[in-house]
Amino acid sequence: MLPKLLKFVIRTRFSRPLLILIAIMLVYFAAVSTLIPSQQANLILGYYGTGIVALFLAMALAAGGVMIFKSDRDYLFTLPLSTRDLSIAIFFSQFIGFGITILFMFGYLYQTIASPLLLVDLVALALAFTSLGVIAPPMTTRLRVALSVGLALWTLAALANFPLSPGAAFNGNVYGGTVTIIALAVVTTTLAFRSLSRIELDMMRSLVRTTSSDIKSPNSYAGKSPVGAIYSMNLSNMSLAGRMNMAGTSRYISRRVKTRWVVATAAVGAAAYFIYALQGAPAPAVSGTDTFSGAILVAVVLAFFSFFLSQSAITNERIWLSLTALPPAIYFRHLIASRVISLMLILAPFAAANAVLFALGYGVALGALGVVLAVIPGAFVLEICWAAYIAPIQVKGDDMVMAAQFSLRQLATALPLGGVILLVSIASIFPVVAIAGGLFLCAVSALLTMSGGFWSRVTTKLTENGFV
Amino acid sequence: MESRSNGIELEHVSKSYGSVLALNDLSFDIPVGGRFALLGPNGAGKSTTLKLLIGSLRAETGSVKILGAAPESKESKAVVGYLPEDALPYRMLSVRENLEYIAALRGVEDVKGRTDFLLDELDLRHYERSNVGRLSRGNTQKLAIALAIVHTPKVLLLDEPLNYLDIPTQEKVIAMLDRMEGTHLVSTHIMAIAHRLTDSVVMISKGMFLWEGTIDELRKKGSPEEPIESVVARMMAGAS
Repeated sequence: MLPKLLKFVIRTRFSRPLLILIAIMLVYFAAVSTLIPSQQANLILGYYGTGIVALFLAMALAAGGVMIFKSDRDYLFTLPLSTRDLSIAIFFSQFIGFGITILFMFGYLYQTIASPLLLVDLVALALAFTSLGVIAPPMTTRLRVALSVGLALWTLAALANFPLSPGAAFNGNVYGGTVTIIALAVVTTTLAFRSLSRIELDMMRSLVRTTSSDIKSPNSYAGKSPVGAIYSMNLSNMSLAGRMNMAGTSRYISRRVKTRWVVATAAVGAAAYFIYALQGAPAPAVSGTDTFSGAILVAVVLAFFSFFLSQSAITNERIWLSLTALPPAIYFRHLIASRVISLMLILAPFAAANAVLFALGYGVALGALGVVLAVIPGAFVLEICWAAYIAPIQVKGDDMVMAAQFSLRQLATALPLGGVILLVSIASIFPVVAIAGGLFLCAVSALLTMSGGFWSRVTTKLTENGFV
Repeated sequence: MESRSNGIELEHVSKSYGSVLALNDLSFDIPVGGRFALLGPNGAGKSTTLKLLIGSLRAETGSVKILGAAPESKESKAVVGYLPEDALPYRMLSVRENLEYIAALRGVEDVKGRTDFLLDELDLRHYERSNVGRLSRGNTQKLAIALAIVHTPKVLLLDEPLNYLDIPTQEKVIAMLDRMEGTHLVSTHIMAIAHRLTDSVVMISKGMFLWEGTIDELRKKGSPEEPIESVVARMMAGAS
């Protein structure tokens, strides 16, 4: 029964072209990795690998959820199936949707990580990443956020040469890191399977995380102008992830977060980055390799963060309300402007850190400053426009995913992220690239944002894609 | 604004989705103050018609007007209220925040007063701080109705407005809509609802105009003992 169930669960979640593409990409990355010199790959792996592991483990826990459809609850769970088989099938589909993302992230470095131990690390990481998503939903928001931050800090401790960290294997401490990752995978996978197998079928509903019942400190829009209301709504709160599109996965975070809390968290992160940069290259005007690498790591993490933020801009929109009140061009223009301001508030502490570093004589910080002030905001707007135009999806319910979401078009919305990561990495090193790239992205973004024709076409697309 | 004699006007409107023709040379008018039901079988083009009327879709040929203005114009947006089927308010906002936000977006003068009025009128006061994502389907529908009429629209477009509502609330909503002035177009499959909310009918099938008249005239098309649903079904079947 299990093979049939597995096939059914996978086919109901992933389109056939997407599954074929996933297979092709895994082979492609393996082939590309042979072209990258291993010394260079090792350097990338140290910072990039640690950063990616920290980000993804934290995100898995913070945004966790299980891929269960309404149709699963209405039909699949009512069938006389073994809970064990059902758990395995759901875990495996979860692995394809989420865990496999790790393999994409490290894809072009396969050659470097082809040593048996590092290969084991990758598989263990994918299992841990998958399992954290399964374990997370029943936790309270506070616990989830606290554990996410703890997990990220523990992983980033590898940069300070702490050997027993999930990131240590990619940063020189192969044995300590491997033991840690395996231990993490064993614990989380055991917990995930226990969670999946213990629950009564009806309890599956509890795995789909729901929103809180009351808004503790609601906003008032009384006395605001139409445009003022848009800014007020988007500047006071934010939905942090909205839609995540790794491997075509679409997910929704329904908790709203006060912008000031996110800005405060960003300020702590920027302070840590500043201190690290000073310690990494204490003497100004020295080559400052560590400042480079720290700046790249921060830029990449911020690029990922802004991407996740961009995916919620349209996904949570209600066009029957907003676009019947204001013309699309006006509404979207102000919606995007308010989202950009909101993002800039979060990026501001990092901009300040880079500006001070530059003033202290760290010339390389100029590139990072350009990335934070221009490249990331410009890319953010383009990511919103791209997702709205290519594959808009409206989140309508509490289901973490909805049928027919795992398609090539969905995957395509994540494609710009690759280019953005590449650009911010290069721009963090070469200020001229940051300035030129940032100006270009901002110019294109401004043109699209101001284009009435573009938003009119987007409105039609949203309507035809079933937006209410 | 040109002619104000018609609240809603469609002239030779066609709209297709790829190779599927959703509306085919559709024409009908609804006079200012008219209460019309939009009837048609599944796939007749009712929802497409409503989406054209709110300007979220554009006709490929023909013209659509709301009180003489194009649906995508500011003039039209100021006077139209729309309730889609299975309407979803903003899930991240509370009930009150939804009402205040949309009232502000629509330029309502007394946002707080209007919000308080609708909260009381639709028995939503108890849920005003509730996250919309946690509301029952019935309360979500009540909120959606409140959002559609928050600016006291002159032209109201409703798609199955009484879905999910319990009977007392249905009666309350019917009475409330009855008190409102303006042009109403109600898309529904249920004749009893059409009869309670409107007095006339526009029937379409396969994206084409089929029949227009009062509900009494529609009833007269059948024998006295024949249910009106049978008459409608016969007319729709005759068109297919």
